Amino acid sequence: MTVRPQSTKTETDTAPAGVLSRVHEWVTTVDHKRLGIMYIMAGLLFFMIGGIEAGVIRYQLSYPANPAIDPVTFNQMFTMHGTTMVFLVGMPVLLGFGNYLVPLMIGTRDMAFPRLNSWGFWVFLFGGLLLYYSFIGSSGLYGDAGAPDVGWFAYSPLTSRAFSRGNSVDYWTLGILVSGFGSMATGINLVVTILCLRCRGMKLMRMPIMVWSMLITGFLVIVALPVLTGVQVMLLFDRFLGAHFFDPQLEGSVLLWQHLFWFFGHPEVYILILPAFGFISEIVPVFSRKVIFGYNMMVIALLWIAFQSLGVWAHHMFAVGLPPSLNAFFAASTLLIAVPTGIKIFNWLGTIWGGRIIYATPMLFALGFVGLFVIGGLTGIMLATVPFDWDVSDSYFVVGHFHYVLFGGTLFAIFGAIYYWFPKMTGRMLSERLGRWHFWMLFVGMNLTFGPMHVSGILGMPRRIYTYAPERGLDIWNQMTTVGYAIQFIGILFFIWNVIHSLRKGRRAGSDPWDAWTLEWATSSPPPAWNYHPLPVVKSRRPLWDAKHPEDPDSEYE
Amino acid sequence: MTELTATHHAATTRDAGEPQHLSRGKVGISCLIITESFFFMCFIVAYLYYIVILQVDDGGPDPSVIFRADIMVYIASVTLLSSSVTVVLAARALAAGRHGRFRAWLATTLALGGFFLLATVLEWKHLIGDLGVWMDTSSFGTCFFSLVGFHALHVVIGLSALGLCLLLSLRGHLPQAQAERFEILSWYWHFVDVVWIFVFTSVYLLRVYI
Amino acid sequence: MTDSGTQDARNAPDERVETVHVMQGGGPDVIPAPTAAPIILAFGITLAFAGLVTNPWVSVVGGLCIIAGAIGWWRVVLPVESIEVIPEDAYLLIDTGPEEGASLPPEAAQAMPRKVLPVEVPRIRSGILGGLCGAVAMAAVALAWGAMQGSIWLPINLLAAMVLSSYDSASIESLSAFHASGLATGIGIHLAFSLMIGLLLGAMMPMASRWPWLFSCLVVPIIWSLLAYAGMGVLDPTLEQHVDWWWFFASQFAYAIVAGIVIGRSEKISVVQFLSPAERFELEVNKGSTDGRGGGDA
Repeated sequence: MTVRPQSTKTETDTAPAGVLSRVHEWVTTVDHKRLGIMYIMAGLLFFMIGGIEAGVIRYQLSYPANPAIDPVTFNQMFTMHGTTMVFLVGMPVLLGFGNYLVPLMIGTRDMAFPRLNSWGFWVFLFGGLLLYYSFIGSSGLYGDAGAPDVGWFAYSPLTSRAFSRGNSVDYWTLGILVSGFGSMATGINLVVTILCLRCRGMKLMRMPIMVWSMLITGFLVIVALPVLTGVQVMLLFDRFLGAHFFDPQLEGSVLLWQHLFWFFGHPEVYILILPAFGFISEIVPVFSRKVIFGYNMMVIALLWIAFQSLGVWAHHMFAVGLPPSLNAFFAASTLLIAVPTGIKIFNWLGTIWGGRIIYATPMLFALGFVGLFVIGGLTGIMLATVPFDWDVSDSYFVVGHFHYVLFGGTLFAIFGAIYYWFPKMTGRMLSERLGRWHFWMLFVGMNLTFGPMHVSGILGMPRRIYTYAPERGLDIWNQMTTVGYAIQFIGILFFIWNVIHSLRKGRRAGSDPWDAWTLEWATSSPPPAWNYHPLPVVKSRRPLWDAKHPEDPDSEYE
Repeated sequence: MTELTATHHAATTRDAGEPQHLSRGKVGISCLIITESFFFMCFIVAYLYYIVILQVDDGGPDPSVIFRADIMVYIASVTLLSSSVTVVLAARALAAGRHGRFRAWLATTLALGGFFLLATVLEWKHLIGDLGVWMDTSSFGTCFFSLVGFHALHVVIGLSALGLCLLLSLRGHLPQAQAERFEILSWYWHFVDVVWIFVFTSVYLLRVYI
Repeated sequence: MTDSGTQDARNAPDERVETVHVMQGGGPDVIPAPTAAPIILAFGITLAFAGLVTNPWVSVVGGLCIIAGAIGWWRVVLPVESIEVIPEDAYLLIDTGPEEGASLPPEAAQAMPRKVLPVEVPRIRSGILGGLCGAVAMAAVALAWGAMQGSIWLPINLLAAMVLSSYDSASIESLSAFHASGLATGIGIHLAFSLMIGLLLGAMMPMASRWPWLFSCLVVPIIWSLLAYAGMGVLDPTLEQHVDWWWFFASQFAYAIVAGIVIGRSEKISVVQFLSPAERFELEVNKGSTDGRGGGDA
């Protein structure tokens, strides 16, 4: 397939060359593709920072009673690691892909509110920088200055003035609050774009699963993020105006923080995984050379997961002593959510089954995703069982569980998506050879890091503890974890080198390097600012299959 | 060779699906309203939890300080809710191109909303100035001022936007073509009113009658 | 045309030659113009909040930025949105010929005909029927074992002990006697498991397309027996205590062989993936296996 832009004249041709004007172009842009790339780049930058923080944690825990890091710094490291990975890596990278791909996939020229989109990105970035400014800007006596050290869910009353006397907690609250505005703006933008700007023929049930996942993610953002905003505002009132929301000495309730925070927090983890489901649902069919199996059920399962994710939050609170009836309800609803998730897993397997599988790097990451996510899902079912959760709550078992879901799940899907759509974004292929190195180092390192955490957790190692005694039998498991971190680190270096190298010397991609079927591969790589001209018309879920096989179009089968 | 373009398939509209009637602005404001509703839900939940269900007694001022408050809050509620009607009439007038009528109804809306805001200011002045109630004096103060305060903030935002429309209209910059934008703004104003129903129920009714 | 059409707000903010009202659904050939207002507004909001933890003057500067950004934003969208016009000669002609440098291996990139997978599957009711027939065969083996032990009620009560916790401490005499609750519970458990496995067999047999019989009559009972052997201590300790495992395995095989035969010999229909839910659950008369609809193209 060739795309022949009969005019190659773009904005860059008319703009005067030079670094300053190039920067000016990027900061004033409202183009969803540039904003998407900036989201992804900023997210990956924060990913490196958060990864280095994890390295400090692993260095400290690499042997018992390690004097390398003092407890306060350790607390700051795991707080910033968690906060960074959830708010400044997961959401922006996923929403960045949504930004980049959704208008292309539904055949339109930009997001519904392009300026709001730009605002959302910048407010996210500045919010993240404000959070990181706490390292140098936060004031207070020793132990209170520096970065926040209250954990990424910042339970009360640890965050009250009495226990966090410096203003590091304020930096945490304000940074999250400000970047949350950006997420809400992007969530609204995604929903409106998908509902209002589809090209002709792009009915809802013809949209790629990726677009469905973004629509539903957008809705979850709209519903969950304002609760986070509200609860952060309450915390600010407590800290600045002396309000009584979360101070138990003044009849406040620390449980209210937990309920409201997790009412946001659990949909949040689905905000982090549903787009990943979308990536996998695009990658797996193309590299199996088959249509997605059970399109309708995939959509229904997405809706089911999103709807039910609003009713499971208290499974984060089994250990606080809720009434047994509440525990039973939340355990049951949590177990039930495994059903739609299982449907998705089986549908991916059904797509792969009988296909002509091509083990390109995106597919490697997709297959890795399916396997690792199932492991994380199964330990999730274990944790949903209240008695078991009481036993391992707040231990490394939990840490291992959610890293399998968020690292093995979300991050593997993100890397798969980067390898899959990098050619579309840049016009060049990433190196397959380096990609394989990246995948296998990450896969091995990931399992070596997070697998032993389950064991150390069952052996009784609490999370967020800055050291451990030598005679507990925890040494070997922690050392395995640390070695795994080092292997992952090398894997990430392969990735960075791959991106730098391929940007300059990668093979030219052409418009459709994977012989794929969704609309974004119909325009040039990288696409022009206006995406399509004229706008496309689609007649089935795989418009490019129809275009390539006019004698046997998909529309006959849907 | 097959072209994937509108021109090529322009004739075959049967399978091309329905044209999309959804307005970006209306869907967008609906999303914003959902977002804001969940934001307010936090504060309503906090109020109900502490003040109505637990009825915490921390020695500070409790809801009884507003019970003497009077007929004023009922009148203010009625004016705010009736401003929803006037803003609809204004939007209809603009859609019909009757600018004089539009300005009249819009001014009425502003007056009604302004009266509500004035009532809030007077109540706060009484509570803060005369009785010394504030966020840090009791759980009731915390919940009351944050909930009612955020609602008042939204009233201020809504009134500013409506006031800007009146200004634009008086200077002739708000043509009939902008009627949809004004209607979208009126949806926001309805939302502010509906939130007040929940706030009013929680704060002024539930603790009195339960 | 292109140069005058591509208006750049940065160079000439006040000379918008093209101002088209694109409120509804996006105008045909335009894209939004770049603007610095959003970044200024975002910076202002961040500074306004940062002032809370640094210095009030930071908030003041932030407030000024907010005002500047908001005014700039209004000027971009009010009264009409500022846009850039796509150059008229930017027409993208897309064709679908083979492309140089495609990254898939050549054999994958070859034109592949559509292939329907799986070609035919049993009906849902075949799975139910197979499960029921298997249930009868399994019960016959189990009852035969019970008769040899002296009571046909023994296997039924042992199965019921999975949910009736009072049976856990019962003596062998008590377990050999007739209990109405034991009978009802045992039949319920037996039917539930039989139907579930029958439906699964019906769905999975066509997936083992080369040796469906081997799969249903050998692989499934072996897996299931091993699972039961490993998990019975947790699931039903009473049964584990009294059971004769070889007879137990025999009953599993009896089930699987009968169910496999019934399902394997039943009528097949073409794949159901694109049938409506009503058709799929056989609420309507099925269109039959003639239309050859399918999902895959491997």
